Amino acid sequence: MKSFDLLSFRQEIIESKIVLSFEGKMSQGVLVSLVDTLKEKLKVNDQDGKQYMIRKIFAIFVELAQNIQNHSLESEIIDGLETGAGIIVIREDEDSFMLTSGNNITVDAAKKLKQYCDELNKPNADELKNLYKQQLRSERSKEAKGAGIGLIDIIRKSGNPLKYEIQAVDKKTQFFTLSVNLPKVH
Amino acid sequence: MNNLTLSPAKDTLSVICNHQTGVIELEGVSYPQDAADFFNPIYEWLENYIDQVGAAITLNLRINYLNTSSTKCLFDFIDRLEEYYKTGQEVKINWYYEQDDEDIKETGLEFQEDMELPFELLSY
Repeated sequence: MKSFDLLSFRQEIIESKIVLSFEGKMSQGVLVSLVDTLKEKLKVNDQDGKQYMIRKIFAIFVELAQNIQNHSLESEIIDGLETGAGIIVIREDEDSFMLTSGNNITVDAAKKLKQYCDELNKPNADELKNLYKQQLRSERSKEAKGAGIGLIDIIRKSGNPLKYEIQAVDKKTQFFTLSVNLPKVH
Repeated sequence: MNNLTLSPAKDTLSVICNHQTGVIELEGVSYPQDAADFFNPIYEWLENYIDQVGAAITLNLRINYLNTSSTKCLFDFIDRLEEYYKTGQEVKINWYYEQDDEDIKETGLEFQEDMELPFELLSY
């Protein structure tokens, strides 16, 4: 096995202000335990008990994790359900929380997802609310896993546009990173 | 016709559907991997109740968190109740939310809009 410097890895985590990170198969069991860990860590980090922020972080975290679960190209059947793998990281500084998730998708899916993010970043809060309500009332498309409103919900809950990055893995595969900034309410 | 009772899990709601009283209680958090799979027995129970009992329904909701796919499933369920209400049946929804929980209050408000059935938002 390649040599590994635990101290510098630790240093990197501390300097990057990482509260929680996970890389691997996002099974439902893993997600539930990450949610528990996250709640515990935020409780310790945030003595004022800002329930409002914790609820939002929790909600955005679950949507990002379930995006990995449903849409990652690296997937296998766990407990009878197609389950994707990827990475999710939460960082915290004085002013905000930053939630970031990433997973492999096809070049074609990345192109579509990029367009969808760009479209969702345009509307104002009221227009976004209407879009959300429309999606809630629309029949679920047979192909789409999840409700298709997760990204709208993330923008509405964070009050910030979606930031994304696309990096090539190989000819057919791209790594799609989604970042959400959640400013702290002071 | 049977009652439907599902114990809460860390990622699913507590469910009690009582065919004698017509009261449905959903409580807790919901973010399972397959929300449609979780909600299916609740939809089925409702269809059986409508067919076999056909009386009044009260839906009491005490939700702390719904992921978006669960939100969609719950909306479809309430939409079915709205349809039932429009056939002249007595249907009532009580949406309880924790006093400072703006997100769940907002979800309740968004559900309430465009619905004709009696739909109350109550803080606790």
